[in-house]
Amino acid sequence: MLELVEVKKSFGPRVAVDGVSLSVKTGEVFGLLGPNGAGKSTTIGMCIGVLRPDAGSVRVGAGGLSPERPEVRRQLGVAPQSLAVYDELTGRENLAYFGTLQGLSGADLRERVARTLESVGLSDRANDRVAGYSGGMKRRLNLAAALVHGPGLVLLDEPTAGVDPQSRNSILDMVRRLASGGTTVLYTTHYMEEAEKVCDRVGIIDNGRLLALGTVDELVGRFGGESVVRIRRAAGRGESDADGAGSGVTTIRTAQPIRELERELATGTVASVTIDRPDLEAVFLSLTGRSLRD
Amino acid sequence: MRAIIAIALNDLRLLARDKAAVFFTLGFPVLFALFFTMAMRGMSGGGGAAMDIAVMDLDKSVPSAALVGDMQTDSSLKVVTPEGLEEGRALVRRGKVAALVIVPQGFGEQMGGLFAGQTMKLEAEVDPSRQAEAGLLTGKLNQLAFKQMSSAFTDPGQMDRAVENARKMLAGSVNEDTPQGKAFGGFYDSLGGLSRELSRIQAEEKGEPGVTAGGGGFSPVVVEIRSLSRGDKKEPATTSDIAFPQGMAWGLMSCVVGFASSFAAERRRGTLVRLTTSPLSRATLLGGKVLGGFVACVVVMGLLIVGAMVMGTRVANWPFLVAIVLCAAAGFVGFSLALAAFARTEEGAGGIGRAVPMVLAMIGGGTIPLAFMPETFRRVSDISPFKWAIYGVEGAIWRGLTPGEFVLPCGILLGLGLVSFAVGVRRLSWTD
Repeated sequence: MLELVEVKKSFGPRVAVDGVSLSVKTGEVFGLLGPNGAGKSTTIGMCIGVLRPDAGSVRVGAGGLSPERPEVRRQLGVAPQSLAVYDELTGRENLAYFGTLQGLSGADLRERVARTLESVGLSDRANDRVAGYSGGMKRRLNLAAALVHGPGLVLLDEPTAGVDPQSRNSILDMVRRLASGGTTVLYTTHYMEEAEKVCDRVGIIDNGRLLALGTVDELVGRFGGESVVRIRRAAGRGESDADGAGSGVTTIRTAQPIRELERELATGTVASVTIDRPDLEAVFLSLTGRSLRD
Repeated sequence: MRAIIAIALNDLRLLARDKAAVFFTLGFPVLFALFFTMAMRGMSGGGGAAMDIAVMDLDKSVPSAALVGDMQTDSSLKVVTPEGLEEGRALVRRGKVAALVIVPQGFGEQMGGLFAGQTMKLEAEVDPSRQAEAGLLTGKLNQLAFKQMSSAFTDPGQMDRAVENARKMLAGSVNEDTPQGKAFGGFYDSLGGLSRELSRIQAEEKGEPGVTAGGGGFSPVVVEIRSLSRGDKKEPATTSDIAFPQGMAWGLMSCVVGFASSFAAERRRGTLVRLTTSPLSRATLLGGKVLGGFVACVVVMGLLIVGAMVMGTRVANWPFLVAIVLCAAAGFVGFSLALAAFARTEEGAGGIGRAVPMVLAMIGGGTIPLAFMPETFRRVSDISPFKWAIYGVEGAIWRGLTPGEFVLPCGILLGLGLVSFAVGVRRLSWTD
């Protein structure tokens, strides 16, 4: 549905995107995970045709066409990181206007607007001006504007930036529903929890380069390091750590935590167990030497 | 087409929801234009203020006193008489008066030497920032001085004195036995005969008012000024007819300034990305923006026409006026969009949208009438859309342009709009 081949983009001396290649399958939720300034928004810009790559190519849809073509743009829906709605208009007026720009009209437009407002939970505030919305409501409307015309490919640039947890969950649920309905989603974020929750595959990006790409399990398995299993035994046993520290808690670092747990259970009474699996934060740390939130 | 209308309606809706924007886009242009119309009425001769001058009579003769009296009674002059020259100069320096007029010593004698070829001389020290008024003052002083001269031909006593002076001057410079001397002598004899005849006539017509030094019915040159009639209506244009077109041009400019920042405003809101990622072409997007601005301009000009008619403007040709209104709106809005293409922020767009039209208004006669401008300005005025908008509106109100003549301003304004639109389409930057 979307293919980037060695795309590069610089702004003066600063290289924002440096030879990124990836492909997003139809119906997939692809996450682009990286810290601020990694090149995520620039990549999105090239995917929607507002930025022209200095090198490489971007191809959209089955026909593999440039996103600058009008017929391709009809298939795209974008929710930019900066809110892109009119505060002076109501939620309904915003969606009706954007839907008209996408070629919708009449009863079809009205019906789609109503349905989209319902899907993002803004039906009861549809006739209120956006200036009176909360931040989370504006984010949801921002997302709705990307969806009103039913695009096949949706690009969401940090869609949960600055929103409350309830709105965040609502947006994530929306993304999962989109994917289950067959919509392809390119999702950028610097929150690993979001990438782990909604993305089928994740690309780790930093300083304009794609460092790794795969499912969450693949990335964690390859780059995340070992799991840490902590086993607390029943009182009196005086067991020590695997390294002999004598704290009463056994700490085991292993690539196969379940097998280790089974072995420990077989050797004695286990009072409690915690398993810390590596996550994308650990993956990023392993790849870059920095934390995602540095 | 649906998308163009949707974009235009959206812009107008956004405008309507912002009270300040409504005032500055629709209300302020009307107020500004009406104010300008009222101000320009003075320059056109309808109720304008008299020129402030100071006058010092250093001659203190009958003729000089008569001249000063004429200045004081002239409706186009407002005369103050300072105590001395320094006080008069101080009034000029402080900007209280446009000029200090000095009637020098010997003015009366000069008038007496009229038939000996002497020139009557007046002096004026002017405020250098009011040179245009100095020009008007020169003409007025010439008129009043000439009026004094004419009295020499109608007041027998004055004529006798002038002739006597002339004979004395001639005797000192030319031998009266030479052909030249005899010619002048004969001329003065004729004047003496005329004087005696005038005296006889006045004596016979006792009770008739005599010719005074300040009056007289003789004037060798009479200039009859008529205002060009309004088309086929055979009536002169009113001052509102003349001043309103300039006011309308200013109102139009005020309206388009707001739309020059339309794209920059979309960029600031973040909504530009939605426009540019839509399937619409660049020309369609700009077309929608232009249409919204065009509608607003037509509304403003409609309000201006109503206001002008209340102030006494009478339209000679309504179809022409409608045509020039539409062409001017198209031209100015297209032009503002081209300017907007060179600005990335609202502040930049607003600045360009004000600065460039301001310069074009100046060279197009939208501020000071072209007649007062240097020759260079008058030559380049043809590039200013203001000139053509004013000319076209004048053509519909009082110039009585023929359809063939009317095509020129309409064509230029429409052409400007189209070319500007093309520049905007090409130049406008979509990216952040």
